Amino acid sequence: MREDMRLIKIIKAIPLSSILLLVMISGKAVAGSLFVDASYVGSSVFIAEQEFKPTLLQVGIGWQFTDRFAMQISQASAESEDNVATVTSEIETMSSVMFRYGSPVNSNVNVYVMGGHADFDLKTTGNTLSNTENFSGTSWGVGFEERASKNSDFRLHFDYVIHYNQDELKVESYQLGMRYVF
Amino acid sequence: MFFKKLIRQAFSRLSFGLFILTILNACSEGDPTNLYESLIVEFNNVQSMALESDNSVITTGDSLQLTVIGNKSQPDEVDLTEYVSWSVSDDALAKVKSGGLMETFSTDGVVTITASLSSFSATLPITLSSAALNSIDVKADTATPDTLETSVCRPLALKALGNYDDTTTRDITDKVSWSTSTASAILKTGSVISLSNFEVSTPGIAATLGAISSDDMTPVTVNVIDDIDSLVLSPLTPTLNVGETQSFQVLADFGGDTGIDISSTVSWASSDPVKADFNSNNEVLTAALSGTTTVTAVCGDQTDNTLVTVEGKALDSLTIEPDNAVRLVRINLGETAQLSVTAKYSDLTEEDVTDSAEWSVVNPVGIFISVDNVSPNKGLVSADAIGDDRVKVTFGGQEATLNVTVQ
Repeated sequence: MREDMRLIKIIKAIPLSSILLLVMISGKAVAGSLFVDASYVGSSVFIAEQEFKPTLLQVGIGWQFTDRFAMQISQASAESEDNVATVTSEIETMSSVMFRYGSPVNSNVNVYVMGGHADFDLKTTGNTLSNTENFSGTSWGVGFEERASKNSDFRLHFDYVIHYNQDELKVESYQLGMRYVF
Repeated sequence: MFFKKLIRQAFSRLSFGLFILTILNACSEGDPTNLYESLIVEFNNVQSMALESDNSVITTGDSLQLTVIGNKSQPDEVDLTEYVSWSVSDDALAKVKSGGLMETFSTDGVVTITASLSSFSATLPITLSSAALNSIDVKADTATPDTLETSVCRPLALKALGNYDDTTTRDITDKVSWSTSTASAILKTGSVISLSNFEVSTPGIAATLGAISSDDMTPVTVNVIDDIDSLVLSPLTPTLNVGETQSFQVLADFGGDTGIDISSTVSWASSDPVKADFNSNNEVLTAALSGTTTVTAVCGDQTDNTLVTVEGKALDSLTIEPDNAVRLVRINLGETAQLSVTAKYSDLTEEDVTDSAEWSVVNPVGIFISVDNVSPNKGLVSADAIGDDRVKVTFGGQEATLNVTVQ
């Protein structure tokens, strides 16, 4: 049931964001390129004045509309949990739709800002609690990518993303990965 | 045209960026409150929760601080006030703000306050009454509240209890104003009201709220006795440089109570205030002139003293001028530059010691620069060859260096 709800939310987010993106590029015809991405995700979960650092593995697929604009859909699963005192926390799964707007530094390096939507299941266990709760909301961040070599289709990237930031919970991640542009 | 296009594009991008964030932000879902509270319970090992306040009856319109204690009276007792959620049985009578401050409105009644944290909750009934204040009693905030007695120099915590028309008695310590009948008795206001006295006496104490005073019934006096056995001053025989300060502490024994800190209530004196003297807050001695002085702490007939030695002002640092951020001076080949050095002392004074200091070049070969170490040309640097070196100056056991580049 939770999987269904998350899928519905992701699907709801895609058309809205896609329309906005098409408007953003002012109706210009863009050929674009398909790309895939694999990343190692280190996260920080701040709650109850404590910080947990679970990790995830993430795969993604996206479309590079222009040199500046791209969209990526990603799915991540827990790689490791983290403990603070008697409490263990992990992000079981995370789904996201992110848009990037970048600016080339040179022919190989591109820096960008990102905005989008993320949905994740946070599992927390301890002596007196054991629950998994779903959270979703705006994600935004910054990052850069660099071609592995001149004219290479491989691009190494590093991103910092804030996925959730309410009064009592903040979730952010550092993503190191490789993209392949077809 | 170019700038107009640039500005239009920038606004377009910014607008759409903000639009996307705004739309997507509306999609935020999930309430971390339950998880947050569960973790607070887990981390603090909460097994029980109690809701407390100083009063169970308050005057309508007044506020009341509520406190939530986890594992009360256990070794792991913890204050949970800032973490709990609050609710009130009747919103028309009162509300509780985050942090536990209860505010009442103008209607009498009884409200039940509930504090909740994860699966724990605690309740407390509070009566709101507009009954008039009849009288005020002054008590000692000790295990024997009716014993208004203390020792010279020893603070005594006091509290004020209000007696109301509805026969209730309420703690109004933080609402009353306090006064004393004698100048030797000092009232201190903090988390508690305390009385400290310098001599054996029976000072009058009054607590007043509006038109009601504790003096309206029977005037209250505190019996100040002299049962101080000894006092010990520390540190002993300190040495200070001019401009430095020293704090002292006095621990006293009263009857069976030992090691009571009375530093703030004893009388302090310096035998030679010209050399060193106490500031207006007592306890802190400031050294002013080289020599010695005897510091004495007095309480009743008990005294303790120590000798304080004041030495000349201490050299804190040397600074070679020009003192720029990179600590570097550039000199053209064949030219000279006059450097100077300033000494900074513990009394915050500064002195040009260029002619008293020893000047040298760090590089022992000295092929790039040379520096004059003979008055009146001390500190005069000559650029002999293109390169980098450093000038060193020594004074009062300290040294400083400055990079020199000959260009």
